[in-house]
Amino acid sequence: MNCKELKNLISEAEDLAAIGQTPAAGTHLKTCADCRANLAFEEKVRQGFAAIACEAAPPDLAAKIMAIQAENIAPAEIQKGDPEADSWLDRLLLSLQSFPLKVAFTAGLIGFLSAVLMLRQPQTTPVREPTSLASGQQQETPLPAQDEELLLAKAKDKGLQIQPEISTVSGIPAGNEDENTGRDSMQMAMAPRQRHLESKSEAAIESYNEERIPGAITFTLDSSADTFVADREASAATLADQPAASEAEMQLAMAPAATSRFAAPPPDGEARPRLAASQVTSQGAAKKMKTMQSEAIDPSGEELRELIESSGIDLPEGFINLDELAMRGYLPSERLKHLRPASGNGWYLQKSGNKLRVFLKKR
Amino acid sequence: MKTTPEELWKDALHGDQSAWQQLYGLFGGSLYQFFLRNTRNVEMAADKTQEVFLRIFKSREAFSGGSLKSWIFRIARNLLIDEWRKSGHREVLSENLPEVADQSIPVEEEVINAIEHAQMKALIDECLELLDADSRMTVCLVYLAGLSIPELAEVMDMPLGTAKTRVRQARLKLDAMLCEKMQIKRVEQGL
Repeated sequence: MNCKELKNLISEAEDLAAIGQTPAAGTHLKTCADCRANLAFEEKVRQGFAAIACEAAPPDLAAKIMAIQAENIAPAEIQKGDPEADSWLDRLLLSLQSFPLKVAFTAGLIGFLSAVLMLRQPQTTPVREPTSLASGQQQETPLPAQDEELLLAKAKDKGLQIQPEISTVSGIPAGNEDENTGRDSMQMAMAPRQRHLESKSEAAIESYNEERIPGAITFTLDSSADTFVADREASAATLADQPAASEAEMQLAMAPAATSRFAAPPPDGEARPRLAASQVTSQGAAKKMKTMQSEAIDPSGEELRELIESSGIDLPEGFINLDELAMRGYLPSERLKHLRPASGNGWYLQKSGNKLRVFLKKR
Repeated sequence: MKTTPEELWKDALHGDQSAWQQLYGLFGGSLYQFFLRNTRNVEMAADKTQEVFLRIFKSREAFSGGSLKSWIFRIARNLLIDEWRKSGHREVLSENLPEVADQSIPVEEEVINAIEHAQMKALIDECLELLDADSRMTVCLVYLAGLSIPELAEVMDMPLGTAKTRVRQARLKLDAMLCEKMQIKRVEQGL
């Protein structure tokens, strides 16, 4: 037997141990070092493959496959006796047995439910109502010309000097004193031009509210300086009205340290440093990001880093292939499921000196 | 006691749970590893293994005797090819493969003997990843799944001679890679 014949014999043999036992091959192997090396190599390769084949499959796989028989035998037997058993529900359940379909179905269901929940949430952002509606005023309709004349005549009788333009422009019943005395007197005191402007601005707000996108967040910045002055005056008046309060108590109550609300107002003409809502939000977000960056150490990333360090694997810097780690036996499949990041992301291994850092990164 | 897979199969179809369990014991692991080495995806490998068992059960009427192992791995191979096509893999398994020359660097017997079991396993794993898809599938079917050359010919639906050539060419590629890696290991370990 020559080297080529033995090589062919080795590559086609199912049992390598039997080759050495044949007299022709045995004699050749004793004298040829290359063929001995070749046989040893083949044995090692087959042992390596056998070791790979013996690697355990995920533990839950056996249970799933065992369930196939139980689930498929029963419908098959039922089908023989009852032809109606193959209903749409049975077929649907059967089609859902496949794992990816189950995942897709569950994801779809969760998505639908979360969408329903989001839509059912009440709108919590304050929506500024038009002043007329907010103050509870009723929409006024212009009176007919005859009624207007009657009312003007009545007013003249009472000695009020009212120009007819007022009622014509504003459309307010001048003599309706019984119902809205206070309101009417204020409205009467207003200049016609002012009323006209007010109604214009109300219309603008109304049109704005109509054009507003439903669900959009509206920010309203109030004039805090005015509020402050009004608040301070109101509280001072309230305190002064209380007879039991002494001068010392009042001073204590008015002290700037007592509450930040009573801080000195900015002098007139000086621009008070105020932040726009968007600035406040962006500053807050930046602060939050900084805090998150400094504090957030992903426990899963830490777990993965510890695993890499403890296993002594020399991984290159870059994205970590979890499947690869699992396949090589460094990562059990239960931990693989736990550590697998969301799609589009990946665990990134960064090396700085001897220190490893594992974090999530967008692929 | 039932010994052949075909007998176990018949019993499993009649509701024998232990026969089905034995069948899983015979083919489950090798099927999973076959898919795992060819897809490099743990979850997909598990899904495909499950799908093979589901398919053999559903299309039990299609099995008309012969080797159950060949039938099972034929289904597995078809599933894998379907998966490759879905993921935009090139047209797999061309009929005529170019002749491959033996490029393996001879390795001394003592170097081979010095390589540990686990090291060899890791080297094979690395080389399998580097192999082309056709060769990897062939090697996996023969050395991982344990198919004989006639069984491989049946699974791949090709003449016996072509199957032999495929195995030989795939092994030449794998051996060349393994020898190169073993030489590197030898230098690293100072053997």
